[in-house]
Amino acid sequence: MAKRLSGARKRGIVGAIGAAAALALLSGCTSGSTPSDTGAVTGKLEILVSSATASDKAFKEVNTAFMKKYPDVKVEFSAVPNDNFPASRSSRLTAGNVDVTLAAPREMPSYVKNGAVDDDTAAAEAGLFVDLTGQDFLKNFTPSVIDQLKYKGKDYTVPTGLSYYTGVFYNKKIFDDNGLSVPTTWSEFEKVMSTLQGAGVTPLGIGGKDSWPAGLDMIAAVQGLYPTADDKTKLAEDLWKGKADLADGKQLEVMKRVSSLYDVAQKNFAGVGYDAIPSGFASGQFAMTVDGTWNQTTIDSAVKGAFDYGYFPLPVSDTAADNQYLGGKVELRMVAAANGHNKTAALAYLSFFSQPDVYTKFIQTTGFAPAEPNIPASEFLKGIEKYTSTFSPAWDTVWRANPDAGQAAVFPFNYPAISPLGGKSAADAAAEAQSAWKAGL
Amino acid sequence: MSTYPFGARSPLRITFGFGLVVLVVFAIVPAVAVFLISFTDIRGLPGIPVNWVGLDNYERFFSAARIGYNVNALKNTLIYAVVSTVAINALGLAIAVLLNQKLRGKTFARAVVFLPTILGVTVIGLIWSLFFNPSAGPAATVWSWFGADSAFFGDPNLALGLVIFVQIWAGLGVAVVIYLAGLQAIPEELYEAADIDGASGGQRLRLVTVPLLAPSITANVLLAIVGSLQSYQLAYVLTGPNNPATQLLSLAIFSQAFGGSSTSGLGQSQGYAATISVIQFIIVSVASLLVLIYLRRREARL
Amino acid sequence: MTATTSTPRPAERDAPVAARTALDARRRRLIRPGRIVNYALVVIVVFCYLFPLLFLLNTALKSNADFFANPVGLVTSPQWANFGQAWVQGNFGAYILNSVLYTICAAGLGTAIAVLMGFPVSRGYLRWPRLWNALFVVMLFLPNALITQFQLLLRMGLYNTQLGYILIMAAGVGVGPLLIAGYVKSLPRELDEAAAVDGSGYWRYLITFVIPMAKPAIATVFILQAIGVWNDIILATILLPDPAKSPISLGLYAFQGTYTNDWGLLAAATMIVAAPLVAAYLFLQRYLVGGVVGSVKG
Repeated sequence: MAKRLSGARKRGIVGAIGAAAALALLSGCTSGSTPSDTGAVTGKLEILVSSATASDKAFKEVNTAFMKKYPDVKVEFSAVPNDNFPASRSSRLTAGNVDVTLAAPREMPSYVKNGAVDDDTAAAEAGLFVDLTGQDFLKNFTPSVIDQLKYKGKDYTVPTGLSYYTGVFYNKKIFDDNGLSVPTTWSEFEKVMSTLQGAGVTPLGIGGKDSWPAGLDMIAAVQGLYPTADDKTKLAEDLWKGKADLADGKQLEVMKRVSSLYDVAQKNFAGVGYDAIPSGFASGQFAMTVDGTWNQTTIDSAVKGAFDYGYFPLPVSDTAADNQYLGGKVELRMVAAANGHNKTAALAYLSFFSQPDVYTKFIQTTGFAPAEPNIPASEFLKGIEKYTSTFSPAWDTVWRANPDAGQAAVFPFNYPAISPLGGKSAADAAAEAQSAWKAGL
Repeated sequence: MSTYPFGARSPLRITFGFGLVVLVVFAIVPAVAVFLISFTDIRGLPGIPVNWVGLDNYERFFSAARIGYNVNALKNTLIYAVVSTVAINALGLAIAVLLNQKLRGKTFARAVVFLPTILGVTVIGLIWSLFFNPSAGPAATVWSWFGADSAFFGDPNLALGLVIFVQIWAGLGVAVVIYLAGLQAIPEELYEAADIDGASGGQRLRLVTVPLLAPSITANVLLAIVGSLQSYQLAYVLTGPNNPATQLLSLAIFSQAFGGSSTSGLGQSQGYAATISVIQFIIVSVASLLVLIYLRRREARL
Repeated sequence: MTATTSTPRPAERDAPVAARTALDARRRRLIRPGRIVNYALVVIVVFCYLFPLLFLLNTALKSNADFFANPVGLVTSPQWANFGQAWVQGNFGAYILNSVLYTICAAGLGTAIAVLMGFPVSRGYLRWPRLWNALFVVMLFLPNALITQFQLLLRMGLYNTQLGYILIMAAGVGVGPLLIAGYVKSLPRELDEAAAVDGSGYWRYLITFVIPMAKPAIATVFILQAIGVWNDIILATILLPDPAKSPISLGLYAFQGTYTNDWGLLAAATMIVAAPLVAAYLFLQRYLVGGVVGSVKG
């Protein structure tokens, strides 16, 4: 299989049709084969993931249990820092020395120009991942989640859990001391911010040095102003078709909201690392922080029960109904590499991972929301169930960046240019993004 | 070609050829290949067709959407290179002159200045991130004595300056060692002669030290220029890959080719990254050759 | 400035008495303030370098809670356990051995290449001397060729092998051949001819004469290249995916990526990595400065 693919590449321009043919061939090779009927599970199994303290620990637990069940398998697990992960993964996929790794292929909307295809999608398109369609173990997962992950009607990825990240962790004690309740509209939220400032409390903590945590505020702002999946899809389409202007209307409103959040964040937050936020929140340096549920276990161990804390959707819209759902994504999605040395073990691993008892332990260690039904969620996640009853994909999972556009339009809301991260006002940053975006259309 | 006195030429050819083969295969061929792939749309993944795209990548570098960003990166790169080269050489020479005297503890001081070179970028990045922690680092304490505060690496007006500062701090060690070597090679008699002629300290430096140090200066300036034009690691560990205030050409290559979806939401574009590499190569070679020619001429004149 | 030394050097003894007395008198006047200023400057330089390092040590001895409560405060209850924990979790022992192997082999091979090519080119024993000189200059600033080096090793079957990584790192000779060629010019050419007349072959001449005489330059070239190999992260990431082959730079970088929340542990890990280096450096440093002497004389 791998040989056939590289042969195709040597001939030069193969294009989408060739890739699709290769894909069909590939699925012919693998569909219907389950680990039980392809022989013994033995040998080396190479796993590559991007590193995070909690998920590394959880994966290692799974690996140990897996090797206990299949004593003839030696799992070789590499957890690579996020920054190096894309480079490591592509070189190892090229070399064929990885069996299980992470990827998130997404179907290309028709309005997106062809060059904008991201690596994960390009890899799925090129047949680098094993087609898992019809595998029994996928039935363990919540069907609606699996449906979300389909690429061109096929299953390539196994979810590890869900995360939500358009909400705010808040210090209940500070809220109580100042007679505040959970705000449900932007004007209520503004009141909360001004009350806190009046009482000498910094309302918001942001780890701006790493840039992306400040981007969470942007994603949350988009969530409130474009609450449903359809709203976001339409925005993306309008932008790609040149019908929407980043420096106008609701799009400009997003930037203004982000700017007002930055205005009430802790002093010099642009130089503070993301890793300092949990401890800052725990010591009461600020009352709230926009963060993902993935960080809840870290925040919890920093707070150490000193006070109660909660999580609510950032109320960016003036309409309470628009603010009632959290935007989220499916966390780390596992794929089996089509050119790996040990496909049998890879499939056995994915199948083992999906078993409800193994998966429950994984969820408990990582703090992800479960992607399988009837798994007991943590107290914290139960507390936010009312915000997650309808899954709303966060903006960054809907948006497709344009490589031909300028750097200012990557997200495309240009939060890094807003003062104090950059030096611009919301309107100027938006105008810069718009001209960078237009230049690429 | 001068006469070869050793008789049989085969030993010369064998060992020279061995070195040449290693350099050509593992350094020159990949470098030439970078030129070739800068004309393709190659990605970092197998099984994806590679197309010749001609000058598309170069057009993209200079396209309306990118030119502002790239000019900014170029400007930052030049500031970075010029300031750090000048400072490393001026301070390096001063410290070398200082530590070349008979002082107690000079050996210790030499060792301490060279330490960052050994510790490496990761450690240096960690030290200075801690140091410039805006909420409670030592720098914040010093700032507070003057009633000031700053976001340090998060402040777009300060970030590049601080990264350059750390680059100078880290790069002085090598410069000092090379200058010390040069200084110790200067015969004492020349200074004594200068003393007898009644030369002042400044004159001694200008008339004896600097001219005789010319080869060391050439080596140091070249090392500093090439090092500062090509290194992105410090900016990367101190301010992250996407900070416009510290965007350097070399950093742009890294994030284009390897940052991939984790940092920008864009796919890895190794063809485009190769294009930036080529453009950077041209800049580095022109800058280094000009400086090399200038310094060689000076050396020859002295 | 060397004039501030008070002991007369041998050369001065022959100087006319009058001049010497005048010189000594002038010196005596200059000695005191000059010395104090010099010592003050040394103290400032040492402080600029030691303070950040001591700050790191202070951090390494703190628990996470202590650190976030007061990052700058002096440590009150040292957490020596940070070191043990960092050592166990970081697997640094194996990484350091890898790094030592890569550094010695790659810098050694690179230095050998610099000598084997720099000497004959400098002497003009080869045709097309301009071509070789141009090659040496180009080696200084080759473009970043990570992607193509990866492809090359993959095709040669050297991907994910220590040999492949060492060859790539060795080929990054940088300024080496240029420095050697420059130094060789300062060695008398008559020596070559004399040795040849005595019946020495080319290789024996290289080993018994050139290498001992060019030792200072060779030391410099080796050190400069060793620094590059020791600090490399990105090539190791791509070319050596097997974690068992990681060098220490990559191990520390990965450790930092994984334990971002734990500053005390991170600082401890950093100290663990730094300690053997500092020790090795303190032991080798007199060879270093001594070794570099003269390498740029030529």
